[in-house]
Amino acid sequence: MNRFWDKTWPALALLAAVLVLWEAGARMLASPNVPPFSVVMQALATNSGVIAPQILQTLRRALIALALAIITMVPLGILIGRIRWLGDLLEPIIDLLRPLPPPAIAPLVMLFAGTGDVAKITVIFYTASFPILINAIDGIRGTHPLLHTVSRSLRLNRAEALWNIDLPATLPVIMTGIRLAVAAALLVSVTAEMLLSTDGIGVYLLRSQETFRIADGLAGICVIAVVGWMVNAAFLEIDRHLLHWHHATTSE
Amino acid sequence: MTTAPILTVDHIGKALGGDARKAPTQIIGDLSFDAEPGEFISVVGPSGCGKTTLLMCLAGLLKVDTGSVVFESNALQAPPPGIGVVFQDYSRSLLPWRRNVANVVFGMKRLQGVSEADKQARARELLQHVGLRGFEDFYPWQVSGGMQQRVAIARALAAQSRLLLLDEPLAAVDAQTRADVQDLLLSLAAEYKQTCVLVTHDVEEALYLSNRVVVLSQRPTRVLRNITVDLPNPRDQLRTRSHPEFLRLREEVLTLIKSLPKAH
Amino acid sequence: MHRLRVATSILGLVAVWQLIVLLKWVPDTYFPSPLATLQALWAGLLSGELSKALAQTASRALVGCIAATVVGIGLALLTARYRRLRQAFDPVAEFLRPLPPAALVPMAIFFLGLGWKLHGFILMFACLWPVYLNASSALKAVASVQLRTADSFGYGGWDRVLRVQLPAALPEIFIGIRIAASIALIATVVTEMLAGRDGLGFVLNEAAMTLRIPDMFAALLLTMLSGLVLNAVVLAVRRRAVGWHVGMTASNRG
Ligand SMILES: Nc1ncnc2c1ncn2[C@@H]1O[C@H](COP(=O)(O)OP(=O)(O)O)[C@@H](O)[C@H]1O
Ligand SMILES: [Mg+2]
Repeated sequence: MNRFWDKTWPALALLAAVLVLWEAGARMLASPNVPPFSVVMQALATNSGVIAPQILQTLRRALIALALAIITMVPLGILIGRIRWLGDLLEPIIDLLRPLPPPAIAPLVMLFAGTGDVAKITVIFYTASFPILINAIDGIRGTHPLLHTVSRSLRLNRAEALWNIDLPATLPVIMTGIRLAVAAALLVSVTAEMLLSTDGIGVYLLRSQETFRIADGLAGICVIAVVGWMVNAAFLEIDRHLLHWHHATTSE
Repeated sequence: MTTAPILTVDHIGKALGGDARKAPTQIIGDLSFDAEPGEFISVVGPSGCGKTTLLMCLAGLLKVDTGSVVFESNALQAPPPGIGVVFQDYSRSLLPWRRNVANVVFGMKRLQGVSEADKQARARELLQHVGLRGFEDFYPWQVSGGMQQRVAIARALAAQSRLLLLDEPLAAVDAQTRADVQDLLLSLAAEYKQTCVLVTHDVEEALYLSNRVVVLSQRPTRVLRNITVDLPNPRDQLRTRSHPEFLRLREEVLTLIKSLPKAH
Repeated sequence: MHRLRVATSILGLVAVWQLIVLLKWVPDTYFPSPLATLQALWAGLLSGELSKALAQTASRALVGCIAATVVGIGLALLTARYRRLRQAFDPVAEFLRPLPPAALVPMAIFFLGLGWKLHGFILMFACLWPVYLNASSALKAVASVQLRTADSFGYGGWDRVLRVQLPAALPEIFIGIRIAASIALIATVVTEMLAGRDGLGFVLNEAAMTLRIPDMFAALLLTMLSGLVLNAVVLAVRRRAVGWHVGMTASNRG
């Protein structure tokens, strides 16, 4: 407990200092453009009924897109990693598309899918696909050669070897990709809402701006920060549980 | 010898690790010995008994819990000028972004009033001295393990330290290189009148190199026996190793170590 | 051989694209042929609309990435030197990193207007955390042998941070810089789309809204190229800065 406290107090002190400075500074400025922290918290309380369903919309779409990306990209990555000609064919295209900022495809998607759920999920799906796909390819290619020898000596056929040996061995790398994808999906789902506005927390932010409700907008940002941090932390935890054997062997 | 010791290790104890749930492990029990100027001392002990920990304490890199380490009549608090260290993990203790010369220059931080050009020149000289002519401008990872070890030794010498601590410097090199570097160490020690404390688990190496061998027990380690090695100098790989006194001491130390209960 | 394969697969992609247009699988008002896209690209570059937008977007992303790199590494050096500072700052950085830069745009407009200040703030916010967090953890992870080496030869305080920790951590710091470079382009384009008056993001949106679809495709193509170039720039800088590491990993493998 003491050690925990010793490590934690500097962060808490910094947080407290920032909040106090914000509060005091804003009160001194007394400008409607700079609401103090306490006012933002009040706005959060009064708007929570509006914000909650919006952020749930955002999370729902992010989760659907993520699930789609995992279901499609893990197998695709394994195929690309294992079948040579497929890799030769598709990898240059992946490398070409990767540097394209995912939100830039939003206007294109809008032409075909409008601004509804499908359009937004498409943009998020596109974003989340790359880290998963690339990690799956690298992971399956990077399995230790010794494991191949093992699976051959056990006389496993290709499918058995894939399921029993390659996939578990690749899992840590794939999980890293999924974690990156989670972070990216959260980032881009808010962005997509702002570009293809119908609903979601991104739209809430836009509306707050259009109606000059700054404290409400800042409250929304606080919610996004907290939710984003929680989701990332949750996935880290899942990762730790799923891969305890991996962490146990790598951290000596 | 009646001179004052350059290094006094006085009843030191050291525990490592441990956290909120686990008590720390006592690594060094109650350990004392001295080193006179110009001596070559080897510390032998079974693997894992705490030799590296001891050497880190002697270097001032770890603080002792009890007792004291006195170097040139000052109790160590931090790494003092005047002590050079060759680490067990020498290949990683060389800085991979610096060429061999620059790694040796790295050791000269505490030299006062020496220009950068002089440092360069001296580093090249040292490298040639340890047998690395032609490899001065290679990166450490471009040369063999034995050569890396020589760079590390040159770097420690470059600091002009009065006490050189070496942690199993030859554990990871092949037999021929080991013999070469042993003789290099002997000639350097003689030439610079260098006081050395070398840690090893190889009893023959300890006897071959030293004036004195300190035998350690297993964890928590303490001194089992302090043996003076009275062998003719200069040493010679063939003659020294077949000298009757060498064989007698070898048997004495090995018997002593064998009598230890197996480490848990 | 590798080049040949890359060329083949890209040609294949263009061929599929052309085929889709020829077979009219999708309405060609929404999906121009490769040739039409190239024509729009050429015209846009000549007229200055696209070339100006490209210059604006690329320079914003580049400057933002450089600024965030300098600030991020500077901060990381400070927190590597002072443990308490790191304990205070790392959780804050972890907390702010998942916050989408786009979410800040509407509110930031109030404070910063629509000009370079807005772009600067959003870019710094987007790129700082990956650089900082990577650098901070890399500086922390420097091998203890190297730290002890530094200590034993008398390198303490800033000497140790700058002469041992920084060079040792640099290869890994570049991972953060590469991430920051790609995020810089994303943040630039998003800001331009949401609050811009110029740049590729703005052109992209504008062309889509006015149904000048070939122009939109041309802008998309240029954005992609900027990303490729930006990545290549970072890799080139990395080769110069940590050439030793490239050599070492190659020699370990070979
Ligand atoms: N930080 C630590 N916490 C707990 N035990 C440690 C720690 N560092 C080393 N040890 C233990 O101390 C013992 C001595 O280590 P070391 O000095 O490296 O031995 P040697 O160099 O003789 O092989 C080893 O058994 C090792 O497991
Ligand atoms: Mg050891």
